[in-house]
Amino acid sequence: MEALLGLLSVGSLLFVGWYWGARRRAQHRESLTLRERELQHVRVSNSKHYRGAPTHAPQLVSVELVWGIDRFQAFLAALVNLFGGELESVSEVLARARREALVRLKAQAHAAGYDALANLRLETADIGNDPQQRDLKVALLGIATAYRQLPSDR
Amino acid sequence: MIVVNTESVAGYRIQKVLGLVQGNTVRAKNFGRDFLAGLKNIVGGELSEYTELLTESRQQATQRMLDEAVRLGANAVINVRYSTSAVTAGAAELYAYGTAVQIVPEG
Repeated sequence: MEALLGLLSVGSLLFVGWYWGARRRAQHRESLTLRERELQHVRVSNSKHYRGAPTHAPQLVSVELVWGIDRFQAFLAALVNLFGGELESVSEVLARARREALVRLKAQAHAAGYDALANLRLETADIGNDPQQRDLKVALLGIATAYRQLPSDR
Repeated sequence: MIVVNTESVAGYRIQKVLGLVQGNTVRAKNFGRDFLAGLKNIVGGELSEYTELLTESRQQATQRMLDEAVRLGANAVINVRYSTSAVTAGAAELYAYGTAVQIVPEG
């Protein structure tokens, strides 16, 4: 009886993760596409120097992001981990979290009146994992310098 | 104070390099935040409790770095970098560092 209850609770967690996780992923992708389109005028580069408009002092912009991987995707990742191969669910979450981080950096720059990001750095952060490894999550740190482009560069 | 992560500041000339400035902080997750984030993680998505924690850490480490730059008489910090490391399970360090300089507008 206890084993059956345990199985049921694990099954329901997986179901909730699968159902709501998929919905949230779809909503997030949609919102990302929209915001990326709105901010596409903000030019991004990872070069270490930038020629910006001298009338506007540059400004550092940064972003932090911790993103969780739903129980169902985590379960799939654990299965793949047994046999080896690409953890597609984890790759997808990381790629989407990076897109989100970049959009937030662009939004910060745009809100402060800038239209270019130079020396973009996006790295995963080590935030101290759960010792029991119950939850899968990724942390990102992003940093860039916001500039106002020269009229000739626009 | 102009703070950038590029190696130079467009429109300005570096007059004097004052040296490395740094700031760090080690923060631990608390039980309440951990519990909420654990519940949210069932369906995935942003774990805002941890994001906020990381933001607070970054702000504090940056402020410590800037305080040092002010003490040195800098008006800009260039080449700023952030790095993180887990010092123990559930606690992590955020370290900010850069080069304090004095800059003057070009021309």
